[in-house]
Amino acid sequence: MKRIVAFLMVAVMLLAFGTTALAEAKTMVTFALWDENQKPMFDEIVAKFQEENPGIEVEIQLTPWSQYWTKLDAAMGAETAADVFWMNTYLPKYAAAKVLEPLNSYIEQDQLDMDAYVAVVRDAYVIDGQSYALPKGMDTVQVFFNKAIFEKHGVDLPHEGWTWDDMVKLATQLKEGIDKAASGEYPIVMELDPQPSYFNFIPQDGGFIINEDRTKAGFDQEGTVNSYKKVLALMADGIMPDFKVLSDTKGTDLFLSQKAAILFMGSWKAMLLDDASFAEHIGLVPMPKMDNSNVSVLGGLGFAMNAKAKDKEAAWKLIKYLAGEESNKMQAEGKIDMPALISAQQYYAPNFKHLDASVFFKVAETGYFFPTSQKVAEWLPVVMDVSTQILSGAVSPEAGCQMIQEQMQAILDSEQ
Amino acid sequence: MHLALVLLSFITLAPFVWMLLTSFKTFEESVQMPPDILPQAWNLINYRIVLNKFPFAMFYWNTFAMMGMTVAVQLVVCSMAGYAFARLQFPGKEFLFTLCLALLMVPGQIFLVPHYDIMVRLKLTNSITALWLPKIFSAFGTFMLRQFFQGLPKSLDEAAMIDGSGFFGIYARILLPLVKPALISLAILTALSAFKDLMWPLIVNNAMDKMTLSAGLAMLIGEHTTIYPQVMAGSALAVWPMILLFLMFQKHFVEGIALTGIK
Amino acid sequence: MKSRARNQLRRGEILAGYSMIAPLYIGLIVFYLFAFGQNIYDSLTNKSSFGVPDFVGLANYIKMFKAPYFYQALQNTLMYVVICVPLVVVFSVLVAVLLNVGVRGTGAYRTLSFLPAVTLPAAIALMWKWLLNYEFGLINALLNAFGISSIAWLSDPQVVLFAVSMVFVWSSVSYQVIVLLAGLQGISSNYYEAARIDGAGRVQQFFSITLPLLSPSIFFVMVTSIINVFQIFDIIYLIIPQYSSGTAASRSLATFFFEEAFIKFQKGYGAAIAVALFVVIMVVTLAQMWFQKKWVHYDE
Repeated sequence: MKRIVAFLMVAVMLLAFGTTALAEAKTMVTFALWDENQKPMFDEIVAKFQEENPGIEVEIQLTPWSQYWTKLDAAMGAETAADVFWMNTYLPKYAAAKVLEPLNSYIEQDQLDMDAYVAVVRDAYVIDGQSYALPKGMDTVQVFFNKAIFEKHGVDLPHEGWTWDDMVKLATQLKEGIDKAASGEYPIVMELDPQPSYFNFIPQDGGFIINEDRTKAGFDQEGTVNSYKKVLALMADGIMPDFKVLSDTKGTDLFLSQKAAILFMGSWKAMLLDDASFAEHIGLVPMPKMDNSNVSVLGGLGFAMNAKAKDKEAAWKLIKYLAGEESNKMQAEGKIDMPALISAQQYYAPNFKHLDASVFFKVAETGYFFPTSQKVAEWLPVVMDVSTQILSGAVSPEAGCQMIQEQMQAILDSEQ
Repeated sequence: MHLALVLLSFITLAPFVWMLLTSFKTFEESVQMPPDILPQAWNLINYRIVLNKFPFAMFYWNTFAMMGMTVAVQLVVCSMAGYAFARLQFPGKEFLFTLCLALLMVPGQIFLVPHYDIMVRLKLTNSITALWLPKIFSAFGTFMLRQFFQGLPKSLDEAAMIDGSGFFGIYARILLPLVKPALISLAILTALSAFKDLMWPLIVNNAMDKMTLSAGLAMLIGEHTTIYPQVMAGSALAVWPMILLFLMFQKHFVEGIALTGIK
Repeated sequence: MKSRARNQLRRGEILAGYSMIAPLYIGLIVFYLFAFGQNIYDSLTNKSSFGVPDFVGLANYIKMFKAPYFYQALQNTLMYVVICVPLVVVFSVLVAVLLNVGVRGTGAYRTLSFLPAVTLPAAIALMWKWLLNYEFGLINALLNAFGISSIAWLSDPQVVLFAVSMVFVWSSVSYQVIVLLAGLQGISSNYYEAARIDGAGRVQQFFSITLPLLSPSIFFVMVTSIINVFQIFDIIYLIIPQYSSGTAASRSLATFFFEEAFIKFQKGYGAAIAVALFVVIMVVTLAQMWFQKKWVHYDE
C-alpha cells in the first residue's frame, strides 16, 4: 500500500515538473479584456494567432467591465497585470503613470502603416507624439427607431437631416396617438449615462465638455446648460419618461420590449438589436441636429502593452495581429465591433440581417472622440453623479453645471 | 391560525416561485404587462444561455472549495484554541481570551483594505486561497467551542492523564469527539456565512473564473442589457445547492443557528 | 522529586497552551491586530492603486466630514436601523410564536419559512429587483390591477430606502425566527399552565410570560440585527440599478466604503470611512451593553 502511494506521488511530481518544463519552452502572453460577448470571438482569433506563432501561448483573462479598471489598477500596483490589455478613454491616466509601453519604436521597426486606421481613433491613443495603443474598433451613437410604432399611430418616420425640433414634433404626434389608443408606449427613451446621451447633446448645442488642449472644463458654457434643459423639456412634455423610469429600466430594454419608439443608442448594442424578434421594424438614422450640429461621440478601444510585459516582442506580435487585417475581418464578420482598420470595414455591415449598419460609418465621419484627460477617472464620476442629479430634477441645470465646472476645473488644474 | 400560516408561506415563497416561473419565460413574455403567471412553454433556453455565458461550473467549484477550506481549517484552529482556553492554565490566558472576544465586536470593513493589500503582497489575488485565508481565524468559533469544552467534566482529562495521554492527545482523542455536535453547528454556521458573503469575494477575485456564486451573480446584471429571465435562471442556479443541503440537514441547520442565540 | 514532576507537567501545560492557541493568534495578529493598525495608518495616507502612498495627516477625515455624501450615508444607515430593527424584531417574534403553535403541518410551514435564511443575499436582491421593477415588475402590476399607479421602488429617492428595508426585513426575519423558536421551546410549559389556571387569556399570556422569558433571545435578535443593518451592503449593491436616481438616497456607510475604497480605489479615503463605521458601531454596542441591564430578564 505504502509503495503504491509513494509510486503515485513520484508519478504526480514527475508529471508536475514535466508540464512546467514543457510550458517554459513556450512564451506565455496574457491578454485582458472585459466583454463576455466578445470573448468567444477572441478565443478564435487567439487560436489562429497561436497557429501562426507556435512559440507563443496566449492566455485570455476575462474581467467584467464593472471590475476591469479596479482590477487593472490593483494588478499594476502588484505587478501582476496582463501583458496586453484593452484600453479606452482612460488611456491618458495609464500613460501618465508610465505603466504603458510606448509603441512608436515598434511601429517604426515594423514599418506599420498607421494611416490604415480611422484618424480620430488612431490619434486618441497618441500623447505627445507617442502611440500607446493600436486601434481595435469604434462605436458611434445614433438613433434607432421602431417603425411599427410610428406606423401604428400614423406618424412620419424620422429621416436624415432632421432637427431636434423635428424630433419633438414627431414625438408629440406619437404621444397623441399613444394616448388615444392607450397603448402605453414611450415616444423617446435614452440611457442617461454620458456616452449615448448628454456627451452628444453638449457639443450639439454649442457647449463643450473639455477644451482641445484638455485644460478647461466647459460646463460654464451656455450651450452646455441648454443641452441639459432640452433633455429635461422632453421629460416635462411627457414625450420621454422621467428619470425614475429611465434609471429603473435601461432604455435599450424598454426599446427591446417594444415599449419605445425612438432610442438614442450606441453601435455597441447593434448586434443585440439585430437579433431582436422585431428587428425588421428597426430603423436607423443619425442624431437630430441641435442648435450647433449633430456631431456624436466616437468611442473606441485599443490594444495596449504593459510596460512590464515579460516578453515584449511576443506581446507586440500579439498586438500587431489583433489590430491586423485577419483579426479585424473576424471581428467585423462576427458583428462584435466596427473596425477602425479602414480596409476591414467592408466586412461589417453586410452581416446584419435587418439593421442598416452603413449609418454607423456615416455618423463616424463627423464623430469626435470621447473627452478625456489625465485625471479623467477622477472627473468623469463627478460629471456623471451631478448629471444624474440634474436629470432627476434634484438640482437645476444652472446650479448643477456650476457644481461640475468648479470640481472638474479644480481636478484639471491639479493635472500639471 | 391556519390563515396566518398560509399567508406567511405565501409571502416567503412567492418571490422564489416568481423567480422560477420567470426563468422559463421568453424575454417577450417577461416584459408583457399585465404579466401571465405561467410561461407559455417550459423551455430551458435561459438556463442554457446563462450556463454558456458564465462559468457556472467554476462558480460552484470556487464556492464549495472556499466553504470546505474555511470550515476545515477554522474547526482545527478554533477547537485547539477553544480547548486551550477552557482546560489549560497558562500565564496571560485571561488577557488573550478577552482580546480575542474584543475582536468579535469590530466590524469587518475595517480590515478589508489591509486584507486586500496582504493578498496582493502574497500574490494571492484571484485565487481560492484568498477567499478563505482571512476567514479561518474566528473569534466567535473559539468562544463557542470554549464554552462546550468547559461544559465537559474535568475527570475525563484526569483519567486520560493517568493513562499517559499528553494534552494534545486528550484534546484530539478524548474531548474532541465529545463536542461533535458543537463542531457540526459551527461548521454549518461557518459554511453558511462563507456562502453568503459578497463583499470580500468581489474585492479579491475579479477574474470571472475565480468568482464565487455570490460574486458571479453580481455579473448577471449585464453591461449592455438586463434580460431578466436569464438573470432569474442564473439566480435559480446559484440558490439550489444550499437549499438542497438545508432540506437534507435541516435539523443540524436549525440547531446550529439556534445555538448562536444561547449565551 | 514529586514537585519536580509536577513542575515538568506544569511547564508542559504552559507549552501546550501556547502552542495550541498559536495558530489562532498568529492569524489574529496578522489579520486583525496588524490589519487594524494598518487600516488606521492607511487612513492617514493617500493610498490608491499604484505609486507609493504619501502621508497626508487628517486630510481624508477632513474630506469625509466635508462630503455631503458621507452625512447622507450616515443618515441613511441610521434610517435603516430605525426602520429595519423594530420590524425584524416584531415580525420574527410574531412568526416564531405562530410557528411554535402545534397545528398540523407546522413542520412543513417551518421548513418553508426558513428558506430565505439559506438563500444567497445576492440572489434575494436580484429576485426582488425583478419583482420591484418599475415597468415589468409583478408588484407594480398588482398595484395597477387595483387601480394604483406604478411606484419607482428602486429609483425614486423618496421610496428607495423603504424598498431596500422591506427586502432586508424579508430576508433576515427567517434566520431570527430560528433563534427565537429555540428560545420559545426553552420556556417551560408549567408557566403557561399556571397562567391558564389563573384565567389569563392568550394575549395576556403572551405579554406576561412569553415576552419576558423570551427577552434574552429577543435581545440577541436585536443586537445581531443592529450589527447586520449597520453593515448593510449586499442588497443595496445589487438591487439599485446603475446610474439610478435612487443611488444617493439608498447608500449606506458600508456601500460608501466599498465604492470609495474598491471602485474608485481611493484606499486611504476608504480606510477613513471604515474607521468612521467602526466608531459608530462601537458607540452603539457600548450603549446596548448598558441598556441591556435595564430590561433583559435572565432566568437564573
